[in-house]
Amino acid sequence: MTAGPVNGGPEAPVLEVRHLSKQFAIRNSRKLVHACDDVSLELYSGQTLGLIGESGSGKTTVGRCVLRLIDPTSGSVLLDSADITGSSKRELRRLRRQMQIVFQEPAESFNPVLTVGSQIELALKVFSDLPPAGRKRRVADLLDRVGVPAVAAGLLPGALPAGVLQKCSIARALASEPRLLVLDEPTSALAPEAEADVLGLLTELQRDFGLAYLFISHDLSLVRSFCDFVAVMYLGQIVELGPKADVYTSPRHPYTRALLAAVLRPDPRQRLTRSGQGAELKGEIPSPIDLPAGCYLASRCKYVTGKCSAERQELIQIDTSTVVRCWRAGDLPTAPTTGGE
Amino acid sequence: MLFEVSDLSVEYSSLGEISRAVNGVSLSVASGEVVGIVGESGSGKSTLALALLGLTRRNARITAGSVRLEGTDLVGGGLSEKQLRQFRGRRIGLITQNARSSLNPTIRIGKQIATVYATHTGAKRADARAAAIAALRLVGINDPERRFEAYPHELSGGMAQRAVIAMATVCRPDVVIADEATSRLDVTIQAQILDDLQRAVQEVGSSLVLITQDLGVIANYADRLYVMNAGEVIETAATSLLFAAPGHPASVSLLESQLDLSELQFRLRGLPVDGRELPEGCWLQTRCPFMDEGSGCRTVHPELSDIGGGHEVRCHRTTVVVGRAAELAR
Repeated sequence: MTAGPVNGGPEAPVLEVRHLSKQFAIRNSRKLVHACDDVSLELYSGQTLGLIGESGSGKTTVGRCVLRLIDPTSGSVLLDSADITGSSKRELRRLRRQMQIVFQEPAESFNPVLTVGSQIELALKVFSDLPPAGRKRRVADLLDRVGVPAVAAGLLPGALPAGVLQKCSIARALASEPRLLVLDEPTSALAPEAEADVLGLLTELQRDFGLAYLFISHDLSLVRSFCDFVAVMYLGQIVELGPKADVYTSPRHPYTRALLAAVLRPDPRQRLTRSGQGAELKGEIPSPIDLPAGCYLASRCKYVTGKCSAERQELIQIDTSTVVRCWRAGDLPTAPTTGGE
Repeated sequence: MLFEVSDLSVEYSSLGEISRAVNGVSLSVASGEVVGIVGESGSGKSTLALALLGLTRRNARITAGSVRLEGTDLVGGGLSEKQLRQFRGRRIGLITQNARSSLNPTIRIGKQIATVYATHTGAKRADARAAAIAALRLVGINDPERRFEAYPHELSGGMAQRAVIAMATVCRPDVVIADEATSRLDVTIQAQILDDLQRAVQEVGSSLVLITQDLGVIANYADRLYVMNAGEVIETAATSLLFAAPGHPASVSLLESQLDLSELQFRLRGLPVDGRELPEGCWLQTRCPFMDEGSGCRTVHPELSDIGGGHEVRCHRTTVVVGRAAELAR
């Protein structure tokens, strides 16, 4: 569903997700939380796919299903064309060399009472055959690779600023020499400048190692500057997926448009344009427990018609690389160019 | 001036070491004005936010300066705790980042707001209830009579933040201080909440101090702003003026980091300066791409100076900075 490999070659995607759904049971209830619903995507080596959406949209669930940290209810996940949906725990341990995750809060993804170096070394112990001395050297190499001074290895996580610690968690993720990194809001706990620093590092690592990134974020301008493709999620569904430039400059789905229009740009001149228009979306996101019958956005969308509330929406191929889950996507008024330059 | 802060300094002490978090900050807020305070994390913003109420964390103390509301000094004025409570919550409202931690999870939100009102005004129960409902309505909560009965966990993040805004404005304070009030909310909710906050303070006639690291918030809501770095004000101007011609390397770096640029050329290097060891000269000297020994960056600590139209900058190299950063403001 994403476009082909960077160079248009015959290469297979590093990651392919097919019709992935995940429902969580609620204790003492027969109801289910529909966390993600019929999600399909492809990701090639050297590419970044941004998964954006508001809290509760299912982004993180997709990321965790991809790594099999949780098991999908239905659908499949393919890593290098091999279906890993049914892989055993033992097989997964081997597969996880290929796919790693970086979490949002670096401080919470390290054990506070062990040194940073020892925790990176632990990853090497699990994923490599290096002897202890070799592991120590490799820890130093990894830290050097992410631009963290060697002294950090001997420090506790609490002694390092969040940006530096996040680089250490990237170093740890690199220990197994993966091909795919799931980056779950990797910079949203960081100050803007530390964020720019970490993003620069990720760009460099991708260039050098051809890593594929599944980049989960709620930050639209971040995804814009960092990703090649964008999948917009709403209530567990992908509502629009396409090349970044297309999604940002000519968003087709009303939800994508609303998201882009809502961004507060660091430009006082935007005030005038903003105060003129009403809110793009009404109200807040419905509950993922009692989902609407038709389009999930129907209750909030200003383009809603009777058909929208009655019929479930499927993804429609708009052109070779863009899909949109809105039957009216073709005949909506031209999108306002907000969230733009 | 309604609200005036002069030469305010706050120090933390830890393990016998003193760290200077806020250094000689002066700022003013006129009646009805929306003033932004912006800076990277670690620039002293949140320490300042508390100090504006005359408060500090346990291991910190205000070492100098004054915070005056209509002339009464909340810091060095020798007010008792009881007298200070007449200001905090009643005449100065505070909204913090995490709405849920400002609400008691076991008490219905309406009652919490009504209690704040009754405590400060001595109002009767029915009047306090009416005031709370009016405050909830004012921040854009539909059906406030029903929401009055809700517990915090029954509210979405946006609704909980609105309830906190209602609590901060129910006593019709002179000033509302909002410390990263929307930074944890989703983008579609952020502007709605800020619009509601803006409307509420206008309605009750409060001034608003927006403390944030998000220049998008400042650009869209603040009339004037102060940029902080290393605990001091390094630049201040009317919002449109500062965004059109940022004059301090730290402001330029902050602005650049929030534009969708593929390359950053003005980025400050390394980490914020250590408040325990502030250097001679400019506190940004080791991080600044504009540093120039010949201009005195290493030896003379720059003063805030007016570069025109009330636009003040604390930098020896302002003219160079303004010229080179002009393209960012396009």
